[in-house]
Amino acid sequence: MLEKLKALEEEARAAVDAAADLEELKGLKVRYLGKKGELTALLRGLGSVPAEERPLIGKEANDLRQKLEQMIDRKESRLKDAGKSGQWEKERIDVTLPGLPTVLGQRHPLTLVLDEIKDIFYGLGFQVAHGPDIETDFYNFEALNIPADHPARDMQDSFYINPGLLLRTHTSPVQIRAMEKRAPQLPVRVIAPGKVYRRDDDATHSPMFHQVEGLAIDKNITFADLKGTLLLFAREMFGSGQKIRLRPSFFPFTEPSAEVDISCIMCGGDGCRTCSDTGWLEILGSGMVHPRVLEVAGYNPKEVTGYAFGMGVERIAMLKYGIGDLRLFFSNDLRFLKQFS
Amino acid sequence: MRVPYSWLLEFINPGLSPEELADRFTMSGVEVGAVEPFGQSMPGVVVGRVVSMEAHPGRSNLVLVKIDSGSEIFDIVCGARNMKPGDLVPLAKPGSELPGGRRIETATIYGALSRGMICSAHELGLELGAEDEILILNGNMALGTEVDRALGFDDMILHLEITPNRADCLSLLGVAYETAALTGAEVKMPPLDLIESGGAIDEALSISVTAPDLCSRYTARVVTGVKIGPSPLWMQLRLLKAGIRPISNIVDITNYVMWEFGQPQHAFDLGLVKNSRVIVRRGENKETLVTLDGVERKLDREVLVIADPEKPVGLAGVMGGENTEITSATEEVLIEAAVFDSPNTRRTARRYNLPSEASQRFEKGVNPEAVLWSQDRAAKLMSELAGGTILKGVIDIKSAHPEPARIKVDPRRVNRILGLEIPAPEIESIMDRLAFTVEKSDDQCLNVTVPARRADIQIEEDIVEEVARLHGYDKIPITLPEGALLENRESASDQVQRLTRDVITAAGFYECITYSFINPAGLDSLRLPDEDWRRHPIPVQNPFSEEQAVMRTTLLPGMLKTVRHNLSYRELDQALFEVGAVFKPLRLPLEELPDEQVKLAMAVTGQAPAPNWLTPSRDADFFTIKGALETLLNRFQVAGVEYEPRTLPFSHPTRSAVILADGEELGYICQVHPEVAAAWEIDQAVTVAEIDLQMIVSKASLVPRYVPLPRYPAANRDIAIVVTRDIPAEKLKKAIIEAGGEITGEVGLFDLYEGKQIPEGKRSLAFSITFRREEGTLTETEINAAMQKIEAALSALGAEMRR
Repeated sequence: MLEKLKALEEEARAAVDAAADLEELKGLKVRYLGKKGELTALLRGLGSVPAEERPLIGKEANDLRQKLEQMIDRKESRLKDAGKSGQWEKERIDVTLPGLPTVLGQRHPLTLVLDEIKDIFYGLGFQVAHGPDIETDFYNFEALNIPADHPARDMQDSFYINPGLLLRTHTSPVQIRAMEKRAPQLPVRVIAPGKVYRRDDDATHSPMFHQVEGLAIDKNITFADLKGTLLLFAREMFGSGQKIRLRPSFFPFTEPSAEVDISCIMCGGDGCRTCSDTGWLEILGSGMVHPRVLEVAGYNPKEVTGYAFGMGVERIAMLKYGIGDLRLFFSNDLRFLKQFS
Repeated sequence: MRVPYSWLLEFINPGLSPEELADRFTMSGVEVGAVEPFGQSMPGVVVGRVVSMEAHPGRSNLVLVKIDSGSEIFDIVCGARNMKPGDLVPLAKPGSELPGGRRIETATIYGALSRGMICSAHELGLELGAEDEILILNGNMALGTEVDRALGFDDMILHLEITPNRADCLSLLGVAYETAALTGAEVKMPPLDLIESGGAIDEALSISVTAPDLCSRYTARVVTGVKIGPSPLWMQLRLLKAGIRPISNIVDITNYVMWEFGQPQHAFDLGLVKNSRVIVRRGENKETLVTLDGVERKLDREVLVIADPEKPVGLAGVMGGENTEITSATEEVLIEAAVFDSPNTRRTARRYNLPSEASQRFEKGVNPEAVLWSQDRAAKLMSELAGGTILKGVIDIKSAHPEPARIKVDPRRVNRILGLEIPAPEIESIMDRLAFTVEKSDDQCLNVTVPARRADIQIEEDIVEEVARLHGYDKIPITLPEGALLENRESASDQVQRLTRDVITAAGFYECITYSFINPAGLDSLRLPDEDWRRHPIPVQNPFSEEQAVMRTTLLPGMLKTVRHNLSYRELDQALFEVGAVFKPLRLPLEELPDEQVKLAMAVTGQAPAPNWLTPSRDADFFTIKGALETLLNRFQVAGVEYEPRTLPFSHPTRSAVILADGEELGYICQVHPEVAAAWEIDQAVTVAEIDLQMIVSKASLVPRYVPLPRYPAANRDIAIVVTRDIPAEKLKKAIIEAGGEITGEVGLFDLYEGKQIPEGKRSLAFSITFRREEGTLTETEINAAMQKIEAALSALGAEMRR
């Protein structure tokens, strides 16, 4: 019985494949699947099969019925489509034409990096604070322990508006403003992104650039906390394999102070042209907030401590995107801006 | 500060290679920018002795010289004749190469064979002596020794990049103390013993200081009977390694001692000081002084001068005067070593643009302990190297005597700040390596006395840094701050700025960042009238150029400049924006901080974004920007927005609008007047907008508000009308909404046509109107009634219905 079913399937498949038009196909459907068709006829002989084999044979027969139906339906669609071939041809598209452009501009690469820095520090529980671009000498220098005639003022040649007002040379004044606003409450945890200005204009200096300042003040902030925070930042920004290195340095508003290097993102620390073969890249300045700064801003340096850091956004963007020329950022050349889409 | 390693070895032996020491310095806070040899190697250039000199038979300006290299005699033709038989000279043998790549070969010069060359200092790369004089290498040198080694060209120079607080490292002695702190090696002082064989100094010189506020200490020694000449070669070489040009024995000695102790000194020709009387005083108005560089300087009360009873003889701490300069005729030398006020020296050096090694050291502060050491050292060297006699005694006038800092240090606090657990004895040992004196106090604290050379150490935190840097920053553990959480969500204004960038970039615009300072001429070309505040920007006092002379009052110049820049690179289709502050002075000249207003500016030119092969291209225009702005204002749910036609000073007369929200001006959109655009060298239509983002913050609702969904279906009707061009579409839309009554929902313009079949001066507009009622389905009759009222209202405005 099973062999007969098999033979019927083979015969029907050959016939359906060979069918030339819908008419013929219709005849085949009646011939194999109709009430008086061959499958029905075959099943009539089921009585002669032993009782225990009947369920198996019944199932096989049903499967065959379904197979044949599908076979005939598919052939029917193919024959129908073939009948409309002229129309399909008219509707043919050239799939190699470009897709319709999605209208999309892009943020400036510096905004991309600023957004990323902000995201990282939001996640670490920092607030974002802002201060004015035109600052008083007090906030920009005096309050940060840089009195008039201090040699450290040479480090930052400034654009002045008048003797008491200038374009801020760093985002550090926002430290003072943020502390003044909050003192004597604890903790303070802010970052301050913004534009800063220095009287420098050459291949590696722009008279305007961007910084992000960071500040944390609490009862027990330590130098080790600063190191931990910056390591976390470096890994979030440049990848989880990052290492950092702190070197003693000098800033009037921190004591102790540290320059912070990250392992070179080009060579991973082996030494290359970007890192002048040192394996390290300097990316920010940092330290423990100087007691005089805490005092000016309304905190008692015997009771609270804090750390502060400041980084150049252009420097980070150049490293991250492999940009070699600082001046590109402010040329706003579309050929440049479009690369960050 | 250049530190020649061999010279440093006279002060301390660190037991490290120059490179290892440099690394230790960098990691402990004195950055070493480079370590490099003093000179290039010159194989084949050796020490030779002049055996004989004879005239060249054919040329009177040349001599035939025989040079003994120790193993061979070389015949050489030479133009110089400053050597004599017996002198040691640098002999460049045939096949050798001099710095700069010059190869020396055997040659025949006017018939005489010349095997090699004898060299001047300049030919060896040294800025020493005259260019046409042979360098005489007198001293203890074996014949045949390579000259580069004999002159110490292989000596390593450490280039220290010193932060402003570490003035102590502007001297070899200070660098030696720092080396001692890092290695534990011992510091050796240079010899200071001297023989005072002359008469008493008081009889030869008198000094008064009338400006003690600017000169807290003035000391002098006198050396008589000096013979001026070049200093010995070893001293000249050391100065060259330090980066100082040798001048004469007396001047070289003052510089040499400055390098050793960090104390600038000046040598005056005492014979030219009137009445041997020195007065340290403020300058007088109308007084002048010709400084050593030959420039006449105008003086006044702001400047400290060294003077004699008749005239100024030096700018204190900055540069001496020509009138008392050491010359070959000088016999009596007055050596000055003083402590001048830091800020005043800094101002004077800046004012006359005369930064020098000396002024730099006074600005950062000199070591008061070293003043007399340098006097003794310089006098000793002058008597030894210039044959002088030292007069007895030192004149020392001081008005202040700085006390060494005494700091109470709590080791627990040191550890608390650093997040470390360093035991107190280790802290004491670090102090010891620094040569700071420590006494224990009874409350577990340490009383630390800091030597005068470390004036940067004043408070406990300074000691904390010393401990940390000498313990090693790399040994500080890694932890994160603990403490209470803060509300740290983005502020409303930051959110508005972020969402603005989201929406405007999604509309196809690229963000720019331009300078906050602009050229004021840009404001002129915008034709802003005098009464417009934007015409009166805040000037920068010391700009680089007119291009950056004033703080911007509008973002428009930056936008136009960017458009022009990109057009010049054939980027014809542009959609740009910037978010940034403009600066509004409350009054000028500026007395208080200005109002910094954050604005959004946009600019489009060329084809609208994004041109493609399928949809017909259209020019970017007013409606390109308006569409993006409408999306933005909708995102912020700003209510009551209207666009009022208004001609602006810089706008196309009839393509310009101000944007109002509940009657308040948010900003403008306009096509730039072609002549204004031409002034920016833009020759195609450009449309711009500028809106006040702070005002948006005050009007925005950032959280979407839910409105219940309509429960009954809406009905739509279209209406097409022909009306005169002067009636704004918005007016027609308002008429429809008003006439249609409360069942009238959204009204949208879906077609606008002017041209064929429409009379001149008129246009056809088609609106789609949605009717809806909250409770119940609308009937045909109700809708027809509303439509009739709408038609009537439109007719009243002169509209004809098109059917």
